[in-house]
Amino acid sequence: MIKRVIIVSMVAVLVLGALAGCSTSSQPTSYKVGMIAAQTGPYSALGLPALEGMQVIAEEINKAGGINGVPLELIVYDDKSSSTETVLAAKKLIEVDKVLAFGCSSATGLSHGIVPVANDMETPGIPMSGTGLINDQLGKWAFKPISSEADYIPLPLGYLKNDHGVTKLAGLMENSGYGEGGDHYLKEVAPGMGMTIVEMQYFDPTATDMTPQLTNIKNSGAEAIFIWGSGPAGALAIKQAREMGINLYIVTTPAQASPNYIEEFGDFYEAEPPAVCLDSKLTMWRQLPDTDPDKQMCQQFDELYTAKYGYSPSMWAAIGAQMVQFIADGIERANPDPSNLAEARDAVRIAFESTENLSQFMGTYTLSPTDHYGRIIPKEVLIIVKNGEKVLEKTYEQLQ
Amino acid sequence: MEISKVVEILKRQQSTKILLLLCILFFMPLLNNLYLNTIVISIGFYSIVTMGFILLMGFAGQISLGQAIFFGLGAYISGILAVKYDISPWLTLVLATVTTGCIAMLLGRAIFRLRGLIVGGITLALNLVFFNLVQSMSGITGGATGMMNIPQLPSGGFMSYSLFIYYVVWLSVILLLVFSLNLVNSRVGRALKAMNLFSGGSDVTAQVMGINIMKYKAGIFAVSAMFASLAGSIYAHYISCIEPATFGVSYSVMIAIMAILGGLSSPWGALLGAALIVGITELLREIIPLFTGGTTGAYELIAYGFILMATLRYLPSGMISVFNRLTKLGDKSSTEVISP
Amino acid sequence: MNPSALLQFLISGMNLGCIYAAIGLGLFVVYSVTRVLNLAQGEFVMLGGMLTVSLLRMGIPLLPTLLLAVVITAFVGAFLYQVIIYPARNSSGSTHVFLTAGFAFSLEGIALLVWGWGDRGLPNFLNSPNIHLWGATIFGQTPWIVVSTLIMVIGLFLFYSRTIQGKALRACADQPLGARIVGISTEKMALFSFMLAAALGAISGAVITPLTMTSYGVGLPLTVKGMLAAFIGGLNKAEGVIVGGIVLGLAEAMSAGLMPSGYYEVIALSALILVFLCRPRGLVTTQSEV
Repeated sequence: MIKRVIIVSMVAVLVLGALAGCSTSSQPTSYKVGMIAAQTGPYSALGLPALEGMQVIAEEINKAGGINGVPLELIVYDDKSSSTETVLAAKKLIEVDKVLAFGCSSATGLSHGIVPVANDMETPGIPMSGTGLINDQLGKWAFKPISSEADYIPLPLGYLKNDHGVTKLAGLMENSGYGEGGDHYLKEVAPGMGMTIVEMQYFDPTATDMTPQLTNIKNSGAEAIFIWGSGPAGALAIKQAREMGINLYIVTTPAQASPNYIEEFGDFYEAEPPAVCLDSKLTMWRQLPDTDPDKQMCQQFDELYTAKYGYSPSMWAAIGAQMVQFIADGIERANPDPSNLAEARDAVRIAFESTENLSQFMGTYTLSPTDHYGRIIPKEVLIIVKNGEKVLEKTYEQLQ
Repeated sequence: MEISKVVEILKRQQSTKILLLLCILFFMPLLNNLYLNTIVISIGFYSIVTMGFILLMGFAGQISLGQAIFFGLGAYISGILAVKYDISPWLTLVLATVTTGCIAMLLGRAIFRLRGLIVGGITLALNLVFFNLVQSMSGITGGATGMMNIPQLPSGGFMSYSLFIYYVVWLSVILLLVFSLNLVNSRVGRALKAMNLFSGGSDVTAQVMGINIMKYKAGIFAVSAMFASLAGSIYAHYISCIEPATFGVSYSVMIAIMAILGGLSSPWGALLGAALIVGITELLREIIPLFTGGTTGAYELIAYGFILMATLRYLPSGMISVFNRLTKLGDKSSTEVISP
Repeated sequence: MNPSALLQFLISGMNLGCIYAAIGLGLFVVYSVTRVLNLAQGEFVMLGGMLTVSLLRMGIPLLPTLLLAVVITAFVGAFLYQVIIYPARNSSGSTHVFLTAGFAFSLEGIALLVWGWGDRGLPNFLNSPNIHLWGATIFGQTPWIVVSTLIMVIGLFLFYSRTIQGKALRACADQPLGARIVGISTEKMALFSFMLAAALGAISGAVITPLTMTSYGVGLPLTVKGMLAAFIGGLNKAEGVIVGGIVLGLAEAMSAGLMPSGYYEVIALSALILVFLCRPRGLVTTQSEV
């Protein structure tokens, strides 16, 4: 009996799975935007907050009456931290859900997969990729108004050089797409700023013991360590370095500024000299001077987000949010008619390419047909930890 | 003598099923649903790789947790040849498959002096090595960021590229399926079954029968590797940008799961298992949001594990036992080699 | 080569080695009695760590927390055997392995639901301070890790050789039919082995969390490492698994320290594969069947 039930449900699964894909619906009464985010798997730490940020912005837009009076409909899929799933999800969004545009807030390597899909199926797509390595491989339909290492590395390096006279740098890089970008651009940018890289060490994203790498760095004559990672390993590295008695200057990528790790290891962040982390204006808005043009925007988002979720937004939430903002801005200017999908998508694409001075959390963007990246004003900041709290240490404006 | 017998068996039992498959596959594109197309293409890729796994495990009793290696080799070799050396994509398929076959032959010689769980362990470790190597050799492979802009397979422009790949993949599935079924029935196939430790045969039996174990084990390993490699090469030219994480241990594990759920006793199990897993994943994607509204990842994981356990519990020989019963044609050309 | 640097690499290797050995030990306990490779072993480790974090945060002192975490995880192990494996006991070995895999996936999903995706840490037990020795650093939690692993090993050894239950377990592994004839319930022994493995996993999970942090997804990668450790040393003897774990840990630490650039994982793993090929039955085991 049970066997029969199982058999029937198996067949039903196969048939339904096929039919599920067959359902088509087109509602001209909303603007459909697709989003792919990692809800499971190793990249869910980036995907889930990004999703949360997206939902806050989408809700706000709809509360204000939508885009040109048309409600925004956000369709979200889990990419399970897999590049194949990412591509599948993208195709489904384009073909079945008939979205006007879509974004992919997966990790660097995974989101690259949507670039060919966007170009093939002629739908504007936004990979959340913070690396400059693919800026010139986006083609006609992919856009990445996020960030690039070339922009934000000068901030911590400039800080080290100007404020602490550091000229010899060591890198502790994650073995991943993210770390690769860092590796490439660190080597490119550092010499131009008068710094030499005396040592490069690498660690696995799931590594738990970085003492061998840190030992090598200690013995290399470096004056500062740039820890480049996206997971707990980077935070562990700060802890282990201080526990080993290594008191070189430490600068890190934004993941290490996550409140999660500061709560666990705050003491090690504060140990002299305090670790300096890249972060975003969004998380530090309270400490921005009132003259800062972005303060109000960040405050608004923080309040909305905290009201909805009960905790403050992180940089990843900001990135998700700004993707939706960017797309909504483009749709607003394009004013497309979704009943003619191909035309609508092209109109949105053209609108994206004419984005001008769009002020968002991670930067201000002006795109063009030849520049699908377009960040003209980077908005990263540097923070340190004092008494368990994050303190703003430096902004880009202060660096100049 | 042998050949006509094989053809006869094939005609009686399998040809009906193959014809049925061909019909379904022919009519599928007429539905003009690109998403369905994509899913079926995905099933196609998995079927090919899983078929290789089933050949290896089901008939030679050798576990391989390394199919991802050869899938990856096929993808990267084909990609590198096409991108860096401008070789015609069709030619890269051939070159990659042959190269992978040779590599697998050599590896097989080294690995299959051993048997049992340790083979699984070695292939697992090899998979990890492969993943790390590909990630580290960024000059050649593009590293963790991946390799982009792999050219498409020249299709002559008669149809959309997706549709073209659909036919390429499924034509390959059918050809390889026929090949596998023939292999199962042939002298070679019977020799392999004799070696299968799981069904009671042993190396001694095989040796007494005069069969050269090493030659066959390495050989079937190479065959299963070439299956995976062919799929990988087509995959690279289809997705057009590949990255190392796709070819890690989780892919190999998924292939093993597809094989077990589909049924190890016949190459048909590969298609069933692949269809089942892909179908379930998509179904979960549709259904779960209806209950939870919001983030579904955790529920999908739980449901996936649950379905895996339930299927194994109630259908230990895999979907193929269901299939056989339903079609009532019985599969006289292959026998249960993994005893439940 | 700087001698204190070398010492640091060795310490790191021993640390990692103990972690991997402990996981491998859990695999060994189940495999030796039931011939099942329990792919959910890493999940037990994860549970041990996560439960400890949650219970400590509720204000429960350390020792009762550890006991509770171990007991709860042991019950999860019992569930795995009784509800999942036992009903399918007539199926093949590979079926059992994938049943444990399915269980591992579901456990991971449940952990994600309950605890979310963040990483959790713990302070060193009794706030043990770091030790500085000849230019190298031993983290405060390391002695706990090493000692607990030692206790597990010695405990198991004594259990297997000195107690009736332990000998019964071994009997089930070596001669299931004979064990039955003598009146030993192989099912009870199997259940016990799963619970024991779960308990061991929980202890290692709790003890490594101050050093490594834990999160819902650490289970499967740990299982893989544990499997490698078990294969290196040989799945037949507990000593083999320990040696395997230490070899794996040392290989990783030494290549991370001595090898340039990002190739260190490749080198460590390749060295292991060579071990597999040269000593396929494991470095330690002497029996003829793996």
